[in-house]
Amino acid sequence: MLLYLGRRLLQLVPTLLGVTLVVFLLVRVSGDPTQLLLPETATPEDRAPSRRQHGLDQPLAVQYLRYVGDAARGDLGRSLVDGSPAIALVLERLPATIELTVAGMLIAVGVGIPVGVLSAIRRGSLLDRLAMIGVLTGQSMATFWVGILLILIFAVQLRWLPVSGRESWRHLVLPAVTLSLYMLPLLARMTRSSLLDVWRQDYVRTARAKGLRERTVIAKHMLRAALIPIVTVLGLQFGGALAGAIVTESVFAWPGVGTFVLDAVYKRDYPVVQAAVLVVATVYIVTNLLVDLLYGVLDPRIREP
Amino acid sequence: MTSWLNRASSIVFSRTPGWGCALVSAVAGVWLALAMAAPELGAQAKPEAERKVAVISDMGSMDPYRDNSSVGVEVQGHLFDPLVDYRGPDFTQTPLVAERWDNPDPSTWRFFLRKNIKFHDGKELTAEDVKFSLELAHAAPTANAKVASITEVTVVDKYTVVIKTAGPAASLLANLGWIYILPKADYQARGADAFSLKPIGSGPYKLERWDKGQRIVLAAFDGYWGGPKTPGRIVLRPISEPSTRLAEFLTGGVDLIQDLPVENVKQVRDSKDLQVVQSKGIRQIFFPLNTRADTPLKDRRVRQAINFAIDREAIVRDVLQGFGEPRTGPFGVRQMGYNAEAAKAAGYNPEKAKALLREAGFATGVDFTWNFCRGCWLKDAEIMETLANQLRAVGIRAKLNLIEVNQLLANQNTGTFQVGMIRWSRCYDSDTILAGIQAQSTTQKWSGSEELDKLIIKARQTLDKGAREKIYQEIYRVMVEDPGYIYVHAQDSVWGKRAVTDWSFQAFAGNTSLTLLYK
Repeated sequence: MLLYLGRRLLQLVPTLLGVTLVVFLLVRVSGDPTQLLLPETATPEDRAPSRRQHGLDQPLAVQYLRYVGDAARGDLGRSLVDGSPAIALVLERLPATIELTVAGMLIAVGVGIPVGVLSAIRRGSLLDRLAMIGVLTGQSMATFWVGILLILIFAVQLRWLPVSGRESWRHLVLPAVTLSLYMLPLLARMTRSSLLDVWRQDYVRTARAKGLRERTVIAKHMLRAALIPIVTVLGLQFGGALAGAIVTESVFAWPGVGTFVLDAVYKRDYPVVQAAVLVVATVYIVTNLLVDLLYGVLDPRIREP
Repeated sequence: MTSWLNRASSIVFSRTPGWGCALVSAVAGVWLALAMAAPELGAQAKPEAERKVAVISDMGSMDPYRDNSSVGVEVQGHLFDPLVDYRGPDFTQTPLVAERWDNPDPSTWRFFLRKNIKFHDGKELTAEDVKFSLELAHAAPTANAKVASITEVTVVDKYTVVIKTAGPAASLLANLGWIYILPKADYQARGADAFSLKPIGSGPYKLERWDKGQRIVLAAFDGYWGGPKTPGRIVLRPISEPSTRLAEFLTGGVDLIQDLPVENVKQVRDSKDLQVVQSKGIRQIFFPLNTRADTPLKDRRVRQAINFAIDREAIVRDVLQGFGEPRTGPFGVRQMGYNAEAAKAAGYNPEKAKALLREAGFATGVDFTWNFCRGCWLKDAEIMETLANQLRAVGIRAKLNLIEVNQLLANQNTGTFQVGMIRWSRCYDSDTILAGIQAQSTTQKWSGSEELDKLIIKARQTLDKGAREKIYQEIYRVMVEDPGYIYVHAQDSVWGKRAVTDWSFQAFAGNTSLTLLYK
């Protein structure tokens, strides 16, 4: 296990290098940031010192090598907008995004898995059909639209919950529910599908033949085996939700990385965009590493050499 | 709901790791139920005399020489004071740090500072701070255009500063409204980075707290030379999504809302608790014509025809629903240099447009590409469609090219466009407008003429107000007769406020796009 963990951690390095290269090139395709940092009336002569100061007058390869070298020392550059260290700007907003993503995930798990299990148990029934229709509807609805609808109903009309911001746990409810709709449908469908696969296994038939109650067969024998693909999907969705929270954060004025990076993209604040993508990529990779390690807990066969 | 979740949990999960999921479900269910059943739980009582304002974005830095975003400048206008400013709907000249000033000669300005102005840390503001701030502005790409005419700054004594300019600089006072006085000792001791986060100014408000992306809290400065202002606290909440901003306003989450969507104005007006605050014609949308590229736009008659083909009244009435003012030239009615005669002569006249095109040899019409961006100004897409239709009626075929705003500006800065877009606010000093829109002509050379450039420089160097007004009226005539822009309209600024909130629009820094948030 330790060997496996060490190997996976080493794989982080080339993966992150690849991420830095892609995002480095992509942000530079968007254009010259000094066009926006300086007033619209700034001349090319006005922009030259700014370009020199930020190293933008150097060839791309030189810029990239300098960036990687600095990054290896923990320096991800300074924001072109306000001069603060880019990594600090991103990290101070990361907790809000993680809070929102985890809350959304908890709702998705808490609702999606039970729905999937019930659908599998009652497969073919009206309950199953209604559940899958509901799930498909949720998957088809745009996050942006759902968020605004929830605000209109629960905040404006009913006045049960606040509209936006991050001041108390009540502020987390609507954005977390909105974000959960991104993950919940797939979780529910995956749970149903995975359970139905396991349903047909010989050992499940044996368990029933031994006279065990259906509840015990499902909970003790089926669910654990069915959890492996569900955990895989959860890991992937966590990363997707982390990046996708940008829309939810915009709708609810949630002060996370998403809205901040969106603003940085518009302003072509290269260091901030690069730092944010690197941080999110790292969280994504580490999450999936934890998922892989969790397989060993769920299925002892994976632990065996 | 909670019992349903618990029942489902007990069916599905009976042991590790299922108990974890059950706990999660139960907690989630209880949390949701509590949240919905107890709307007042956790709510904080509103502090007295606090005003909450929903603004369109957060700011990048509290340092006025690093951040010139619209919200940034608005906040900075509360934290810092300049030497002198032009404020309110009529741009009243307002001495601030400087009590008075004189001109020993046309190129020399002597400013006499108020005594005992305190910074937020209690230290006194002196002439050294003024000199330091002007030097900072000179070195800052975001501000150096405002002090470009200044050649020397001398501290005469603790409360006297002498500024020398390269020739007479009629716009100096207006430009100084953008130059905030920062504390030299504190700035140098802590450095720009620290100052950006925790600024010290001499303005009526000090920064109490800045939770990035969430709120900026300003507290009234008790030691302000002009006396403490009300409200005692201003809380700015950056909310970029317009519908969310509106929802906060409708539910009482904020007292003021910036950029109230015009579709919701009637809803707000119909409410007895809410009011609309409208400021007329604050921002003109100029559509620059690239006269250097090899297109029909090089011909003055074609450019005149384009302007004659536009029915501005219809656009303001039907598309903007009255939230704007027509413009046939570079300045509006209340602006220095407005030329009523030239404005009237340049009004809607489609027959004249057709005649000019025939005269220019384009009887079959002309084609050009018109860059525009979405979300850049009020009803932008609708106005562009309407303009394209109006032009088509006289044989001018404008191909609308929707591109991202930053790319649009980049194209203009490099001269790679045919017709573009520049937004500029109504300002106290017309040179501020011309320096903004016509600077392109002296650098990128895609519009303008030697005659126009000479007039602009002459106006800049004429200190007499009456004579200056006449020069700007001449500039208006030149810019209409040889148009480097399509002139259409200036949009209004529309804010919403609670009826009980004692506030009205108060421009500062000589710019109608900016408003103070206190009385």
